[in-house]
Amino acid sequence: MSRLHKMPILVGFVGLLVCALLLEVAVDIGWVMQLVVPRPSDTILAFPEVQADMDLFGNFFVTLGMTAGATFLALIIGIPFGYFLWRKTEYGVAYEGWLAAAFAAPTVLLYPLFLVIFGRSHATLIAMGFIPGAIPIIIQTRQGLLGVSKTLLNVGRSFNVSRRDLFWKIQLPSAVPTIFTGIRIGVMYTLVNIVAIEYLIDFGGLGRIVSEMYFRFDTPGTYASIIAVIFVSVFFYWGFGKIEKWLRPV
Amino acid sequence: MSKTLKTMIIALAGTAVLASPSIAADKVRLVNSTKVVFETEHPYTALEEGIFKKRNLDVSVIHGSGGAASLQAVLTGSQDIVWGNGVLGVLSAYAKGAPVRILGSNIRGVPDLYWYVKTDSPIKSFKDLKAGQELTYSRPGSTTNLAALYIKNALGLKAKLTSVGGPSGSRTQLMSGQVATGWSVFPLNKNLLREGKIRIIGTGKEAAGLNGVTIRVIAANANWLNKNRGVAKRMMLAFKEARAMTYNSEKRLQTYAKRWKLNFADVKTAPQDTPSEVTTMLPVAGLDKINQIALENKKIKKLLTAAQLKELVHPMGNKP
Repeated sequence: MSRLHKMPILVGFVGLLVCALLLEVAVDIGWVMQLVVPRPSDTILAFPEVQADMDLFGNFFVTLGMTAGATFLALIIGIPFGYFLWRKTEYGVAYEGWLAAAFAAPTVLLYPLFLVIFGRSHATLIAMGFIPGAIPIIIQTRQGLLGVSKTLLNVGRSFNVSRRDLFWKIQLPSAVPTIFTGIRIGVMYTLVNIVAIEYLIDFGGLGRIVSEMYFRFDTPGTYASIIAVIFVSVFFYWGFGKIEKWLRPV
Repeated sequence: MSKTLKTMIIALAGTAVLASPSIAADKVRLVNSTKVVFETEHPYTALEEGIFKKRNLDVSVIHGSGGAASLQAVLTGSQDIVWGNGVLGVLSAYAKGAPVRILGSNIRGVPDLYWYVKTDSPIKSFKDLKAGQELTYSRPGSTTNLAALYIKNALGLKAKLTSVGGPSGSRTQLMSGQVATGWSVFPLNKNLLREGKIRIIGTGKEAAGLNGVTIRVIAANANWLNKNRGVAKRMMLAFKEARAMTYNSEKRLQTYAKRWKLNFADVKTAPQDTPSEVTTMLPVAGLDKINQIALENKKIKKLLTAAQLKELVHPMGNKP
């Protein structure tokens, strides 16, 4: 890793540390109520306790797995559907508004319906994570392909490349950044929905632990489990960043 | 002193006397931890029948979204008193150093909870539940969880305890055939009973181990209580009067039905569904048992001492 790349990471960590220290002091001197926000040091110390009591680590992988499953479904359905909407302009124009409206809708509130369809199971979590994940992927895939520069296409055509090569070698690489924007948004919405449903129906991974800790008034435990959720989010953000770089190195 | 100056002073003094209220009413912020349940009506009775006003109290009533959130509002000082909060939550918060004190009992035992099946189900009572069939409750560590556990143990059932969420989630899962039983609290879902779509198989009265044990409480922020003990006492007396009125007035029951858009036929039996003798504000009973249950359910890390339990309860606002 170059020095240029190391610096922002270091600065980020220092910033985080300073914020944590300020919070520690604020809680210590009573500016922030300890019952509402615990000392960062107490939150760190709560990790082993939550692990021993609720298997935080194991549940981290449950939520990670549910999010990965829902995101995978969103990808294999969202990208082809986005491609279809790009290829068939009339459908694209027809459904764009509906998709945008559906994306803005709080689909999490539909959980009772999904409980009826799938029961109180992991299938409900995956299905509820899939919906808000797929929509931005569909929209951004279409947008990405629509936004490919005409100049690039003309250059390709001037070299007499086949239609297939034009797509795989010019259109898709050019659309990758926009598609990945959709994927990043999608995976975050998927995670939020899955954790929210876990919290609401008291089932699954980290959301269930957050709920349990909250109902016990165990504030450090609540924050420790929220931090674990953040780690899931960081994992996906980092992972998709790597995949994007691999697909489009420049 | 000139005559004009004298006149002005007298006029100003008179205006000041007239403008100031005789004695300003004490402001109290009350959070009702849930909706619809019969006992949540008493604060409304006190408000709407002028009982608070009579005791020189200016009370605002809001609804919280469940026990934990409502109690949190009191702990942080954004509300002064919480009505109808689960005693386990209060004990748990107190054990973690939260400034909270119990002023009185809302209900002892869980007679207002009931379990039901679809009318065509072969299950007639709890005892008909076979091994593996679901006896439902809302969420782990909740009152319904405790009640289901005590019923299972008291009757020696082989049924499987299953968490289904609140009354509406429970109803959905029962009606779609995912679980064998549903749970509810009177008067919720009584319309389905009236319409013959569901049938009761038993109530919380069968959780014999919980009978006589305070389950929901009235609690206050300790800092507020220390500064406003007289106000807290007046609040408790107002609640007592309002409770008696709600139980004995058909007009109040009609108002209750109207408030929550319930059929009057479903609420007129509320005083029998939630018997008056278990909802008196004193005694706050069975805290030793609740202490033990809290420990078993990991709500607390070690048992509260007798001195702590004594400090926790300020009966009717009085010092322990």
